[in-house]
Formats: sequence, structure tokens, C-alpha cells
Amino acid sequence: MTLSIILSVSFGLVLLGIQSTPAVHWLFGDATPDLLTIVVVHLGLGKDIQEGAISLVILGFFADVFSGAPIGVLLVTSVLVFLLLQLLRARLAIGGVGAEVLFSGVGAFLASILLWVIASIFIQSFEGGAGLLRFAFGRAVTTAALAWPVAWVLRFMDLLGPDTRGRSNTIFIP
Amino acid sequence: MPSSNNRARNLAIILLLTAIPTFVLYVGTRPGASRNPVDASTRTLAGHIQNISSAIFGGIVDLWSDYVVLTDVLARNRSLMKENARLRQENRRLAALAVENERLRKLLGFRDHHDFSHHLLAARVIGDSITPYFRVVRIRLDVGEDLVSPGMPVITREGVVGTIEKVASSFCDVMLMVDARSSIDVISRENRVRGIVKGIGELQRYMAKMEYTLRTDELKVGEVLVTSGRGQRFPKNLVVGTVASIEKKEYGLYQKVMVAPAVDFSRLEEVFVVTSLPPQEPL
Repeated sequence: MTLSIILSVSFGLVLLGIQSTPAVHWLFGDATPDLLTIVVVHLGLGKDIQEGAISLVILGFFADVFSGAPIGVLLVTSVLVFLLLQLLRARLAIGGVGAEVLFSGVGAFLASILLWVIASIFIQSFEGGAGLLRFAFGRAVTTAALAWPVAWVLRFMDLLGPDTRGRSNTIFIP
Repeated sequence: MPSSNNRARNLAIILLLTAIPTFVLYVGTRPGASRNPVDASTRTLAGHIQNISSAIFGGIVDLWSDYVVLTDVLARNRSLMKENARLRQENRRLAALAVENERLRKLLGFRDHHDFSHHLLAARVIGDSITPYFRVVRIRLDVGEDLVSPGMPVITREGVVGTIEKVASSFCDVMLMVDARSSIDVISRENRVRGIVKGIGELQRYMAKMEYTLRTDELKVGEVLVTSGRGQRFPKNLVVGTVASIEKKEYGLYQKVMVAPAVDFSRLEEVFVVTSLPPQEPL
């Protein structure tokens, strides 16, 4: 499990580095893909809650560091998306790269909305919100478009560690 | 079927997963939240990662641009392509050097023609925020990192960029003036109308608004707004932006003024940190 966590966190940090590069912002403009959400979706759909949680907390913390946001904003957003996916995973038979691509798009859309809600609640003087849906949709599309290669790398990394993709270790099963 | 032990453990994880980040967020967003050694070291690590990825991906983007140009030339004449490409490459390199030279020359000129010239530190932008909700860029200082502290103004030749938010070794987070948390005291150059320019956190463009401008104040679209120098946060008379639109209602104390920033934040490469302000002029 430790190797798997180290690999997913390391790869997540590389993705955050890429996502925060000015050149990537020039390429994608407002619709810069949400690469963190692809990792969150992979953790939510492909890992048990314990292993996923450890990687998620580390990556969520670093996401706040990379974004320049107050620490905790992106962390809380990622946790909420992760828990929602864990719930879905327990209730539905979801798996495969196709599902990760689909949920990456949906997750990116949801994360954009959640982030705005959380920032509005916790940060004084935070406004924003104009063009939120358009922005969230654009970001969801580019995220889904890039999700396949990223998910493929994450799955390849999983092969290097022990398999923890069983559904038995979740609280959400009735 | 999960055992009751597993369920209890997982329930504990869920509680911790929701409680701890929420607590961290609550503490982190309180006014005066201070930085700690963990925060500083993670920001330094993030800065190094961004520095490397910025160099790599900047190169990849250049390569891609080159590839597109070269493919076009190849389609027209294969035999001429090599020579043509070499000349084009050389030309682009020289043109880029000329542009960079011109930009740096202007920056130096800007630096030399201001009375706070010896208080400026040059820095390079190495990272953008991963979310547009927070308009923050990360810069890297080559020298003088000990002189920089949070709250210091960051400027370019075009005008005000923002303020230093956090410092971690040679890396600094700069909160842009269009961030919803930013506010700058300004005065209009022509009609001397005062106000506070605040970011509005728009997701798809860089815009700000001017607050506390009385409805009776005469302000024109296109009028230039400069720093007032009040509060000794920014040097006086630096261009902040121009008035983009004005909306006056028939009631209320203030008018609604939108401001277009003077700086093109989407193409920000080099900036100056103002490490100390010139002595204030007597009133």
C-alpha cells in the first residue's frame, strides 16, 4: 500500500506542476484541465477508503499550495468529490478506464462548483461566480479529454503495488 | 460483507477526512493566519516542481510551434525545407532575442526612471494558480530573497501586478490585483476621483471594480487610475488600470465602476518587487 501511495502522490505532484505551468495556461486558456480531479476520481473509484484517503489528503494539501489558495479550500473540495465517488462505487458496479474518463469530466464540473461554494462560505470578500457554469463545463470537457492517458498511467502504477480495488472494504455497503 | 471493525474504522476515516480539512480551512482563512515551517517548506518544494515543469513545458510549447511551422514548409517544398527551416529558426531565435532585449531594456529604463529604482528586485514568473478562483502567480527571485516579505508591492513596466502574499525561500506567491481578496487605494489621473480597486474574481477574464466612488463624482470611461500612495502600500502614481464601464443608478451613495487592469496577466513573464517605498512627499 505504501508504494502505491508514494507513486500516486508523486504522479499527482507532477500533474499539479504541469497544471500550474504558465505554458499550459496559454494553451488551454480558461479551460485548463483539472488534472487533480482525474487522480481523485482514480482514488475514489479504484482504491479502498483508507489508502485513497491518505493519498488524497497529501495531494489536496499540495493542490492548495500550488494554487496559492488558502490552505484547505481545494483539500475540502477534493475530499467531498472523493467521498461521493466512494459512495457511488459502493452502490454501483463502476470500473474501467471509460468510467474514470466519464467521472473525471463530471468530477471536474462538480469540483468547480463545490470550490466556488466553499470559497464563498469560508473566504471573506470572495466574490466570483460570473460565468461559473460555462467555466465548469469547459474545464470538464478538457479534463475528460485528458483523463484517458492520465488514468492509464495511474492504472499502470497500480500494477506495481498490491491490489486494493476490492469493494469489500467500504462503509457504504448496506 | 464488511466486518463491524472495518465499518467502525472506515467511519472514523470519513469523520477525520471531513473534520480535519474543514478545520484546516477554517483556521487558514481567518484574518492574520500565519505561515509555519511546514507551509514554507511545502511551498518551496512546489516552487521547485513548478520551476522544472515551467522550463520543460515552455520548451515543449516552443517545439510544438516550431513543428507546426516546419510541417507547413515541408508541404510546399521538401528540398527547400531544411535550409528554410534553419533560417526561420535562426530568424525566430533572433527575433525572440530582440523582443526579449527590448522588453528587458524597457524594464531597465522603467527601473532607472523611477525614484524607487534601488528598491526594486527583478523576478521571473514560474507558475500560475491551478484554479482561476484564486488569481495568484508564483515568482522566483534570483537575488535578494531576504529582502522580500508579505505585503510588498509587485509591479511591471505597464503598472501594478499585485502584492506578495507568501514567501518561501526564493519563491513568492503574488496575489494579483484582480484576485477577489485584493484591494488598492487609487485616484483617477484626470478628475482626481478616489476609490478602492478590488478584484472581482471573474473566472474568464481579468477584471476589477472600483468601490466607494461617490455617485456625484465625475469619472469617464477610459480614464486612467493610478495608485494614490495612501497607506504606504504602493508607490504613488503607478498605473493600476483604466475605467472600463460606469453604471450610475438613481439611488444609493456610490456608482458602479468596472476597471480593466493595465497589466496583461495572461502574458506575465518578468516582474519587479518593490522592497521599500520612497520617502512620502509632504502634503
